[in-house]
Amino acid sequence: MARAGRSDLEVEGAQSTIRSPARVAWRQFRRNRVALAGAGFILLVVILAIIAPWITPYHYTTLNTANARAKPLTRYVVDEERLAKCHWAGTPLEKACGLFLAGSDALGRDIWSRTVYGARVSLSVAMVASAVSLVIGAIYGAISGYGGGRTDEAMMRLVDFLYAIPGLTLIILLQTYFKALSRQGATGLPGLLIDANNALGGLLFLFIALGALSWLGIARLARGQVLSHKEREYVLAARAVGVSKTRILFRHLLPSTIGPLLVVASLSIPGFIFAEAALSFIGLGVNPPMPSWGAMILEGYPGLRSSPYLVLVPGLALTLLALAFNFVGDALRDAIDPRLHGT
Amino acid sequence: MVRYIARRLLVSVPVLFAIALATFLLIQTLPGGPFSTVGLKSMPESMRLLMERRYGLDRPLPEQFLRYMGNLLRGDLGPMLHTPGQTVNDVVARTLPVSIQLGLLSLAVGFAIGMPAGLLAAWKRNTLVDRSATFLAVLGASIPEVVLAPALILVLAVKLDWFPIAFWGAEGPYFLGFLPRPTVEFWRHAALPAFALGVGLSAGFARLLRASLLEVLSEDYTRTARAKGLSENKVLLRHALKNASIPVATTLGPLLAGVLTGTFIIEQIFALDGLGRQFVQSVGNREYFLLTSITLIYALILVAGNLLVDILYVWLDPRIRYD
Repeated sequence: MARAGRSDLEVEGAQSTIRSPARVAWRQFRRNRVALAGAGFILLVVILAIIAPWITPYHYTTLNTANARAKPLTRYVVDEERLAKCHWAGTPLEKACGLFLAGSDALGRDIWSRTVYGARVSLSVAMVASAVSLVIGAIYGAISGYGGGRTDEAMMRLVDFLYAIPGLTLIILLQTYFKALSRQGATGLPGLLIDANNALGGLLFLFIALGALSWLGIARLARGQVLSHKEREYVLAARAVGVSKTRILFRHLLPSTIGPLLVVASLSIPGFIFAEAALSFIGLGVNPPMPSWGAMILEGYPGLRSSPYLVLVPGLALTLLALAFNFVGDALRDAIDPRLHGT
Repeated sequence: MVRYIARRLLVSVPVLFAIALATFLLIQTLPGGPFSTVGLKSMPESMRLLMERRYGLDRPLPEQFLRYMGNLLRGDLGPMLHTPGQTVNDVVARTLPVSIQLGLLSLAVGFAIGMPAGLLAAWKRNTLVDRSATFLAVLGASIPEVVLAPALILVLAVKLDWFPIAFWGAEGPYFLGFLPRPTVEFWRHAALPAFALGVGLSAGFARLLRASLLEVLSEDYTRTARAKGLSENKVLLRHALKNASIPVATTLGPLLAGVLTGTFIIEQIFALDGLGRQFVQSVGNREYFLLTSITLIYALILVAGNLLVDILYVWLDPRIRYD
């Protein structure tokens, strides 16, 4: 909508008075300092996750039983064999190879390294799961609302039915199924999926399990949005000049109703991060030794009394990331659609 | 109203049936059966067949499903496959009350913290009080149980030794099937898990209530109430609060199901013998009948919770009618 509207008006030289909804939202968002800090923190975590090999001393799988349960911020003497595996060996930073910034776990794996690598899991779950639920939900809901009549009735009955399925139970069963299938092996398409999943450290199946039911809320919202928009003038105008139904749906209706959907999708991100941590905590998350913050808490929990940092470091990371996403989501809601406040 | 409830219940019967069927099939198609291993070794073929015959697992799937449903209608949830002499009914009777007690307590914690906080924030809107409450609510919503529970244990149980680290402080038989004797033992054991679960709930309640109160306070009937000369307290508590609770009530349906059936994380961390932990532990060794039954119990509570919420609406907002 924004694009079409602006190009027409630019010809008349009136562009300075026309602000696209996106730009209005950005101006509003920019004024919220807490949200900017949150966005900055997320960006920082993304960068850290990408450059993980350069800012961590060890790979997340590097064992060093001689320095197991090392205390945080204490220098240790590291043997030759392990020193060879240090990312910083042979650089001026080599001295820091014996410094366990956040301690080491029962197998001597560096907690700082594992926490940084673990951000990759949380971030990809946050991005992919919310994007998948947004895309499926928006398209499903828009088709249902725009189709109307029997199509709408049938599609919404299905959503009602899926709503009655206890979500977490299904996720657990699905993940159990995928894990067992991976162990057993398969041919054809399932085999390909298993290979892809193994290559991603178990993330692919996690996306599928988390995304399976998560689009329901967005589908309902998208349907409502489309219902309230489909009789408006701009849709009538588009129809009058002979624009096809599919084009109206995807080029006119969806872009102008996407705002609130984006808000709900971004507010759902902490939920996905928590769900991944919870699944990893019961051993149904990513494949070990891939570090996930939930799995790190699970592994560190038996040592809570003597080495609380094993739990507290990944726990703090989890909380800070969720906090940042919550700040950004809230600000996005206030900026895009103040009426949604509190939902 | 009665007709509405009856119709809703009637509609949910096929839904529950479909869920039962889908769960049954999904669980039965899980690779590896309940008797494929003994400990870490694989079970001899002849033994496996014998065990499967004993529990009727050698029959065709449709027959198995029909038999399960038939038994279900008579209130028999089926046998436990790995603990001889116990039925699923026994396990549910033992673990469900624990989950319900924990769930109700955490809901109480959520309300006790969340509702006053939301009310206060809306009442003193745009002041320091509002901003602190809002910030605390976001913080509460950002700490997952899997982090909050160990942190609470570390400080309040390990370091200060005020509360026990694990286990539940009550045992059956319970009053009315789920009410425990309110001993000191019970409260001491329940405090940490209920708080760990309740904090997240209270954050959600506070945020929702604040937002909907602000909306209600700008409505005409609030202006009317003010115009009549009612005090701000009365306007807030007698007129606005009830209407503003509707969004809170809406979230209550799914919440109720989640909370009453136990969140497996909290039960796992505090080693509570609840339904959620039972479910997680039974997935690994394919307790077919228990898994299907627990999923059905979840779904049933979900349906009942949503219905309860719809009835609550009528009380909260007299304009809502179901005919």
